[in-house]
Amino acid sequence: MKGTIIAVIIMLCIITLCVSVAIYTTNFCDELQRSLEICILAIEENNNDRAYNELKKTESNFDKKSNILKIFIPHRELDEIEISLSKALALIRTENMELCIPEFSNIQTLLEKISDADNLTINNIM
Amino acid sequence: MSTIFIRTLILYILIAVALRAMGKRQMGELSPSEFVITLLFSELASLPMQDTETPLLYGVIPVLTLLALEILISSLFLKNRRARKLINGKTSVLIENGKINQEEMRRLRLTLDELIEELRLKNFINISSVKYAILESNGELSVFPFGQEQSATRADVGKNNDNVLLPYTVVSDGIFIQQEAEKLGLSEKQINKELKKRGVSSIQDVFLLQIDERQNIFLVPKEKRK
Repeated sequence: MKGTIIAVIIMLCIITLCVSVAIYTTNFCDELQRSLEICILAIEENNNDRAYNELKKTESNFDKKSNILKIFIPHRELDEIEISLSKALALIRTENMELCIPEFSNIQTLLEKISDADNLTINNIM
Repeated sequence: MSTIFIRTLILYILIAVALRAMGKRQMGELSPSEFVITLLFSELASLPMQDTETPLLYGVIPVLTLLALEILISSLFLKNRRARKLINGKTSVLIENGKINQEEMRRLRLTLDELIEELRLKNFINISSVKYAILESNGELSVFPFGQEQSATRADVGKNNDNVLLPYTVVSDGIFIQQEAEKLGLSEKQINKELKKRGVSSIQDVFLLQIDERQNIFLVPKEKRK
């Protein structure tokens, strides 16, 4: 009986962890997507300072949260986002705006990939 | 490099603890479900052990899930004979009273050569000296020779009997097993009557009841839970 209770507790903990990670990942990706959209809007309005500040804020926020997320999901995409964010930041600083947009689009694709990878769908299960 | 070292340590400890938590049976004989789990453990652990880009949790979660499943399934087996049979299979009598059960061998896709080979491995050169050969659910073959083929013990001095009798488990953990009783030509009513004679009020109060072909009874009543 004791063993069964422990087994049920382990199962419940695992399910809770899986759900929490899924929620955290989705929120993380959504938040980053919103920040990137603000940056793109600022670039389109030729407001480079605002784009730079917003991206700087996004980068520090990403660094904080990605450290937690790296415990739960594979690093590869997160590392690529980190590189793209620093690249985009450097491009804004040097006012290379036409090269900055593809970097944002790359980050957005990676974020979608992370968010999709954790979804409980038939495709992912299979 | 040091990351891999620490990861290996963690996974080793986790698997050692998980195997220990599964019980002592795990170390010796493996049932089909235990065999599958042991195989999976090694595969699941090796991947995050080597690939540092994969989180350690990708190895820990499946191992913990399998551990919990194994404990839950063994609890289910304890309570439900049908589930136990479904997953672990049942024992098969290949030789019964010296007669080869050809139907059972066909069902198990076991050739005569394989049976003879197994018997030889158990030190039985002549198939005619075997009274019972039972293929256990873990794949092990149990062999019982005719009485005169057995080595003598002190208790056998002066005796000349063929005393190998296959006991049938008629009641297991309070559950009456109809098929086994039928082999002995006994009904549930007769069993209940026999139990009452021995001071046991019902089948539910029996932990184990085995009866052999000479109607010798081995009875273990259920102990009261503390």
